[in-house]
Amino acid sequence: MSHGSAPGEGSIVRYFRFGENILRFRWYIGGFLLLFTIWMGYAAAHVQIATRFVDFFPRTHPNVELTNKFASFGGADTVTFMVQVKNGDIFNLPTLKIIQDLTRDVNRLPGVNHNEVFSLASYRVTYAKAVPGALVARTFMYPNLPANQAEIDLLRRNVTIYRDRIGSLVSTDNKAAVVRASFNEEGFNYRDLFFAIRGLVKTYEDPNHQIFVAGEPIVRGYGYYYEPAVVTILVASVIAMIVILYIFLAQRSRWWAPIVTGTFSAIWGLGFVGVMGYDFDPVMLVIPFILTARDVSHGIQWQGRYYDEIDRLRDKYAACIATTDQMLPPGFLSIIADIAGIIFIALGGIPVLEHIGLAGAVWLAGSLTMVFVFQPILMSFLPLPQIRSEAKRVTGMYRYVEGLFAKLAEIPVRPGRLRAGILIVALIVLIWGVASGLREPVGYVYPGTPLYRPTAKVNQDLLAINHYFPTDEGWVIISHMPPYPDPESALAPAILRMSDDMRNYLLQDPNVDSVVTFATRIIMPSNQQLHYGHPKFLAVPDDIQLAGNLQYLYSTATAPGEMEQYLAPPAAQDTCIRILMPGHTTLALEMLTQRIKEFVKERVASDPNLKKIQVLYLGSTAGLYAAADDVLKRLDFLNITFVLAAVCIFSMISFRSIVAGLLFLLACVLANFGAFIYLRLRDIGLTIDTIPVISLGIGLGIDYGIYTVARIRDEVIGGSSLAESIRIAITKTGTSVFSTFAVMVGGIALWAFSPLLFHSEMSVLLMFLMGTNMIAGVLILPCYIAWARPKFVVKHEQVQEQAAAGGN
Amino acid sequence: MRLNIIGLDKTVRRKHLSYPLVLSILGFAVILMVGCEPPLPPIKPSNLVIRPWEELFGVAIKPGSSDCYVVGTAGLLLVSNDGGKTWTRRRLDEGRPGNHLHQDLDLYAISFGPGGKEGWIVGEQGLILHTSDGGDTWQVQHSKATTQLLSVAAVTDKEVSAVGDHGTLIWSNDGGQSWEVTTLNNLTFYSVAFTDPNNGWVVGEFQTILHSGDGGKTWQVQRGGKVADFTVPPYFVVVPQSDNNVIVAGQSGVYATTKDGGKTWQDGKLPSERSIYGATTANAASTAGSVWLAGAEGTIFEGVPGAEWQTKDPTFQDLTAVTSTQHLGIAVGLGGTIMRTANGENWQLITESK
Repeated sequence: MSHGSAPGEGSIVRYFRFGENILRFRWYIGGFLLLFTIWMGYAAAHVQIATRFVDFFPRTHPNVELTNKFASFGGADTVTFMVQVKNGDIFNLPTLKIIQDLTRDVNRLPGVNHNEVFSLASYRVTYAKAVPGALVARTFMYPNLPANQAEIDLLRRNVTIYRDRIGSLVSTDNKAAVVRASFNEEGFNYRDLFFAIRGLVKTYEDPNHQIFVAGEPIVRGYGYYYEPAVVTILVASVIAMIVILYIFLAQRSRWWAPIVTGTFSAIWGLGFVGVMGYDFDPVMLVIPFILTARDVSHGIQWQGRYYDEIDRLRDKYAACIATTDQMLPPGFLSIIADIAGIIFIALGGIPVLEHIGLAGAVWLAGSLTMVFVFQPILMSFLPLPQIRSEAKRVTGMYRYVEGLFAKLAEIPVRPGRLRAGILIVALIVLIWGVASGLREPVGYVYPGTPLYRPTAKVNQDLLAINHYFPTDEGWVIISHMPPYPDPESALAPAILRMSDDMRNYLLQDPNVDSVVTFATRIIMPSNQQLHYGHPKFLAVPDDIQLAGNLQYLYSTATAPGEMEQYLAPPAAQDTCIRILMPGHTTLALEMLTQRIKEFVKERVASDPNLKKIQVLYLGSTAGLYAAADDVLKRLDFLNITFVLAAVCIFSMISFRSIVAGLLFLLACVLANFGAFIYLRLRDIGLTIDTIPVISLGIGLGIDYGIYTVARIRDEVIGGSSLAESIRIAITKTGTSVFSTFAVMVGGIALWAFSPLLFHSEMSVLLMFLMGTNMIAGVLILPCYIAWARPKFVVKHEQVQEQAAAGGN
Repeated sequence: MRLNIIGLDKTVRRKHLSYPLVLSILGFAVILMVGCEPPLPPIKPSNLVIRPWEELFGVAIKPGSSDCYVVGTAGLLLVSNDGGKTWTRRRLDEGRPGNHLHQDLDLYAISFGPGGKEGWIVGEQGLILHTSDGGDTWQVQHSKATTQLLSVAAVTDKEVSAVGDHGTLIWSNDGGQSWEVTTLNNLTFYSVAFTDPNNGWVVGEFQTILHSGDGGKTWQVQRGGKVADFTVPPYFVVVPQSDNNVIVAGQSGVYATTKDGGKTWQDGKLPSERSIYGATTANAASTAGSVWLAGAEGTIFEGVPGAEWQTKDPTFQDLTAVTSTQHLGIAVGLGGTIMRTANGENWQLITESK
């Protein structure tokens, strides 16, 4: 049992008599903290629950800026409805009617861009035919459905012949047809749109027709769909945490105090979100929960020590002061590690991560204040906790756990094969973990969203649609083109030819489904039609004037805004080359970017006719995901480096030893790089969604080691031998660490059943992290200390011995 | 022994410091060993030979062999040595500037001389490519024409004619060393074909039909010949079966024949109004003497003038060219379409899956 530090031997906290001063000014400090919490509570009540697509991407990344700058080329919020026929194909009246009705209803959805609703039944989708003396443009199925079988057969024939016009809307086997719509982000919210879309799906599905939907609004919208289930899990987790808390601290009448401090720091965290005007994304719900659990576990640590001090000192003020002085340094250190884990994710410029990073840091700072400043004040106002009988206290779970840790404590203190084996295994895991961490893929490993399970409707739908139609889009922008009739203007043969060449080149990428350019979609077919439909004129016109005439002819027949998909208004100085892909896996995006880079270098930069223009890439969804991958790769590296550096430096300062710094650094690497082994084995990549949790986990678990080692040192200072100190630390702090572990795991475990794969994976990952950190903190670190006898611990032993020798 | 480390912990003994240091060094050694991340797989050009996004415009079978040559978009040359069953891609790099990454012109037509060694390909912007080794290597030849050359006919191994838009008619009698360029009324000429070293026909816009009796050196108008009403559908193909019997066909199924070498033309009717872009005398055994007309929406009409036409719809893609030998027929078209037949009855689509 610790007897506190020798005078002058303690930390800066003890030097400044923090515990004493906190209690001396408890009215002022407590009052201020309460008022501040009330104000934060007011702000927290105004937090908006919402999802903003652009917030998920680094706003200063060139890809994101490019996407925003050229938003007129088509927004990222596109929804694809696919009607799939179970028996037969789409060429029957009931199916065609569903396509027509669905097209009409989609056109009525909130925020829909009416000019960008495309389907077989859309007036916007036509084919052209050159006949003697005329060019005839016809819709496929607008405004009327085919009246009889002959007309249905004609429609089928037209769809087959003009596959190049309709291929993105009718599958090659004619079993599926698509209604595709773009939405203006300002015009809708994800929740309403999602439920309206689900309503449409329900309306038009029947035994022979399945309707699949995909698109970013759907992925985000499912967050709202699963909200009740997630809230249930949230409530159940809170209850589970309280129950576990009760089991561990029920022998004391103030077992509920950590709930108060936990709630107050949650109010600080959420209040900060409100004050800053951030949106709160339901998909991220697990993060505040982890922060609260973290906070409660700090509270338990504090309470555990407080009761020990009460038992020893039998005075609540003295116990409060002693506990504060002893707990603040390791507590401060561990919370700094937590904050380090989360604050650096704000560096990447991704708004969502910025919000989480900053709000998380404030939340944890709230924790620090609440647990280590407000809690002693609270306890000092409450009557002396009722000390239940020693017999009752050490019954049941607590005694069992303590007994277990007492046995465990024998492993480090006894030299032998077991201890050596543990250290060797630890070294192997360390190396394996680092290797896995370095090879951890960034971004999406598989198509679809890792937020939900592969079996979830959202991913099944996406899979079904991707089977026929690409859903992701990337933009290459040819920019800085001088106005017509400059030989480098948008209509110049050199530009048209280059973009056609780019299309041919990019289509060789197996991940690219199709490439749409102004040249191939408008000018070349128009050129062909102007030449009596002869296929050899499906080519870039040989002079700019002809191209200008073709564009003029085409634009007279377009809907308002249609040409803006290809040429930016007003002077057509920018044109967009669209690359359609069936997914946005990191590898596919990297290969695409590399290909474009190569093309620009080999084909554009070397062309003497292309000196004025710039080729900018990559925009739209593919570009946004590539940007996120790009930033996360750097962020991941930076983040881990910063967290480890923070852990190392603060440990060095706290224990006043370089060795201690390195020791905690390695313990941190050992325990947390295990996360990467897990991620590698489960094939999870680092994404915008997973990085905050992993990052937080890195700072999260090192506390166990810090608490244990601090206790060992305190016991040595208190006069115990190293072996005895390790025994006491493992038995006492180990039990308390285990109770923290149990609270967090007990709460987190339920998230494994969340419908969101993201919650589930992260719950398992965090339990894993808590486990490895506990093993590292309670077993491996003591083993190492017992074996290596580091100076920062044993010097106190020597001081005692010397003192004893001197005394003799 | 004592070690002074930046004054922080002056009494740390080396022994105690060594373990974390050794571990740190090991850790960093691992980092260096493992390297950062696995490298991207190198970019490989698509291994598809027939690519569904490429258009095929011309086809020729080398005389005296079953070697087939197909030309198309962006300098594309496909070669088959087994009668069109399997194909390889050939690059036409020689002597052309900036040929990286498909900075090539579209190739519209190909023709071999009767000896099978000399051959010509014509294409965009007056491009002429010539081979004198049976198609293994190709060199650029220069005429003064800069317009699209849409059709070429090697009359002999030395005499060759080509036609194109803006009224372009070019001719060489020295294997392409020098070319004579003439133009006629800014018309677009789509096709040129010869029956013998002297007699040939050219067809084009406004139902123009030209005849040459001197191997292509000079041309006389037999029909059309000047700008007319745009409602007059152009002729796209000409198939001279003999000096007297010639068939022409074009947009929306327009069709005419002559039995007197072009002195008089009889307009006929094809079974549908689909445009015809390619034509050949069907030499395959079972269809000897008849003509194949290939065109829009994957149509092939087979027949002899005056008799009823048989319609075959082997594909939906526009067919742009067709050719045949005694045992083989090949038709090509948009969307990387290659079709072959051995007997003229069954057309088989040659594809590769991506």
